[in-house]
Amino acid sequence: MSAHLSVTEELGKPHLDVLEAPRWSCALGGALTTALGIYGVVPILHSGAGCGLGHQFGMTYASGENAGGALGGTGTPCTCLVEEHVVFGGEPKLRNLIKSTIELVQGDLFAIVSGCVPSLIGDDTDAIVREFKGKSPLIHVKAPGFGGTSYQGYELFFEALADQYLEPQPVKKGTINLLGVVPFQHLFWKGNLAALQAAFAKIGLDANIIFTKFNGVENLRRIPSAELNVVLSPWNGHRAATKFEQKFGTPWQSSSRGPRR
Amino acid sequence: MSNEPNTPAIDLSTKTCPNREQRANGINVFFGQASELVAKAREGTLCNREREFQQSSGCLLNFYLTVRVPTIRDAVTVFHAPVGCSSSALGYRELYRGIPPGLGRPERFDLQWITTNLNENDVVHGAADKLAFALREADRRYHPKAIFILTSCTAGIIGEDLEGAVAEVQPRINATIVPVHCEGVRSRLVQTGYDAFWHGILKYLVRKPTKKQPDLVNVASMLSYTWQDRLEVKRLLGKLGLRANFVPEFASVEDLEQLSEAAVTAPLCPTYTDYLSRGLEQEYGVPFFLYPSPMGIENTDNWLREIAMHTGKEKEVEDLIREEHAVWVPKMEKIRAEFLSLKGDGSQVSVLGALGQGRLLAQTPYFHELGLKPIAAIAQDFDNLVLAETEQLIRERGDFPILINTFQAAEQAHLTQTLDPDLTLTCPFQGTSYKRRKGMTRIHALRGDALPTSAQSGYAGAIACGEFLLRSWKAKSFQQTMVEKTEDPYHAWWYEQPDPHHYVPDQPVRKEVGAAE
Repeated sequence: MSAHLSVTEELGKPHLDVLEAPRWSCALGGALTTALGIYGVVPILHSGAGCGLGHQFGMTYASGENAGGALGGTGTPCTCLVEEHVVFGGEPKLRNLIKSTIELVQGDLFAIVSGCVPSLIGDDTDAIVREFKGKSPLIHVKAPGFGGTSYQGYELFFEALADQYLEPQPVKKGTINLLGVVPFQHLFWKGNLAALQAAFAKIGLDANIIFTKFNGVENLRRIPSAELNVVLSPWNGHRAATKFEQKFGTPWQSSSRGPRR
Repeated sequence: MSNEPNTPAIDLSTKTCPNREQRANGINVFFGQASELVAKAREGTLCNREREFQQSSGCLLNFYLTVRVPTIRDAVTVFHAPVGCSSSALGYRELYRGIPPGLGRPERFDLQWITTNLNENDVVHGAADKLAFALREADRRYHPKAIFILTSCTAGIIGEDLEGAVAEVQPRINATIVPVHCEGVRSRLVQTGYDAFWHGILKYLVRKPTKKQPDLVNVASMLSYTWQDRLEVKRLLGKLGLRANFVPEFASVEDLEQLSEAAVTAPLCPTYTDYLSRGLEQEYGVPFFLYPSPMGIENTDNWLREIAMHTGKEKEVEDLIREEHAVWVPKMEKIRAEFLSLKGDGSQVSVLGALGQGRLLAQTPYFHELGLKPIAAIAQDFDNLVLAETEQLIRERGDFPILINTFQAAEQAHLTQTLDPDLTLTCPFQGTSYKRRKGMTRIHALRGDALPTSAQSGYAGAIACGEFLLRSWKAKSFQQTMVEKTEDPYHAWWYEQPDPHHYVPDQPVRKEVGAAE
């Protein structure tokens, strides 16, 4: 009997990060659903086979019975790692998957999201992704599920985007990016974004909401040209905005609450 | 049955079940004629192959267990996993909300689950103490009768000692702890997850029968059978004076404990119920049958007859069948006549259906009842558990092309486009084959859909589903909008080449390819 574990008589050492039914998912979940929220981005999971389908129930359905589109749910390309890869490595399978996905799936940007398994077995995912650099637009979001929450997954996606895909651009007056709305983490995220875009238009600002639009990747590409990043959350999107400030010099400001009457 | 492939006895002294690959030579990659499939299975030359293009199809934990186990009443589920592995349970609550409590859904149905929320520190140092804490906290907070532990890839890879934690905590709490080994990386076949769950139930929860309950019928079913299907099963069994013991969804721990006291275990989905049925017979002498499932009129007749045989209701069941036929058969004939006249040129409406191997067997005769012509089949997996029945199906209905894959949307889209059936039926998750102008609809609803029109089981279900399929033929605006407004996710060349398994190299063990050029 491991007596050293029982610090208190009743329950043993308390672990405050043991959680009851948390209303969020893991870093991979956040990075995946951020990718799914942007039309034209093709997520490629380097993970176990359940990481895509699981988030169909957990993120998209749970968000007011949303669906992830043709590349969400069971449609997400995935290496579906099993024991054999855990022992011998998942790199060849990932290489095959990236190659075939680029051939087969229509998209403007391929986002490889790597999860727990490759991180634990030590796959050099970056090296595999590098083999395709310069031939197809792609980024690698390293998002092992044990590394953080779905809110952090959102930040990881934009940090990877800034480091691996976006280029500095001249500032375009009167344009802003809206950050901090994490896709599928809120029942009304789509409607909120549309309403905010319309509200900003009334004061003459072109607000780039990035998500939900058919020209999603075009919207991603123009992120560096914004005059200001407006972060609509007291905590989400701050890392992304900080990253954009460092890389492209875009100032940002956060409001802790939305517009009020 | 001496030449049947050997199905090994269930060994409850082990921590968990064998994988479906080992237990029944299960595979989920095949495209060809069904006759070729069964011949290869007989020869023992059927093998799984590695896909170069693959889509997320669910794992042992996150195909089925996460969304079902937490619904068990007076129990708590502890996920020994990073936080994302349990997120499915969030959506499940949304799905169930649509069932009115008046139809039997518990009024208060908040799911009780806890995650150990493994983090970087845990994967380095181990998290046995965290699991022990979670188990004791679950017991303290809810006073449950049982605590299920569901494991994850991460817990498996870092080598967590589940049984050690159970041995430490079990003597200190009242709840029965049921560890379930469902690490996602364990098996290519999500069906291994069913077996792993039933293994835990059989090993830790089912009690030695204190008394036999001769009117109790065990009914275990998949999420793809709706709430109305439960009600129909209850209605039919009720008329025979029998009670259905529905497991595991919304079952109480008592319902699971008394599985050993039932008169018979009846299937809705044979591949799902297999391990439980065999285990209950082996350990407690509860008889079982795996075919047919109650889908379509004739299948339902025979399903009821099988149950009656084990419960001494042989006479009553014939009365029931007569009574039900008087109500439902005329309706079925009307649907059949309408389907047969739909095309106008005397030809039958062709249909392509996709789902589990159990549904494959039950649905084909049902399609024939409806007057539809199945032209091919898509099944999630194939294993020796259904070999003899598939052979029988081929003998009775003729050979047919079959595509075996677990939720591979691109492969399904390809086959749908190539065969171009009048009506295609797809799983609600399956996505891309929706983009077509001809008839299409879902092959089934989910349990949370409580509409009478979504039922499929029993007599009422046979009629409801037939009418549903008829309506899908008539209402095509949804797929027309989809075709017009959204692009196909795959490039055109995909549909121009002939093979849905274009990305499956021939060799059983995948050969390593060189670096990208």
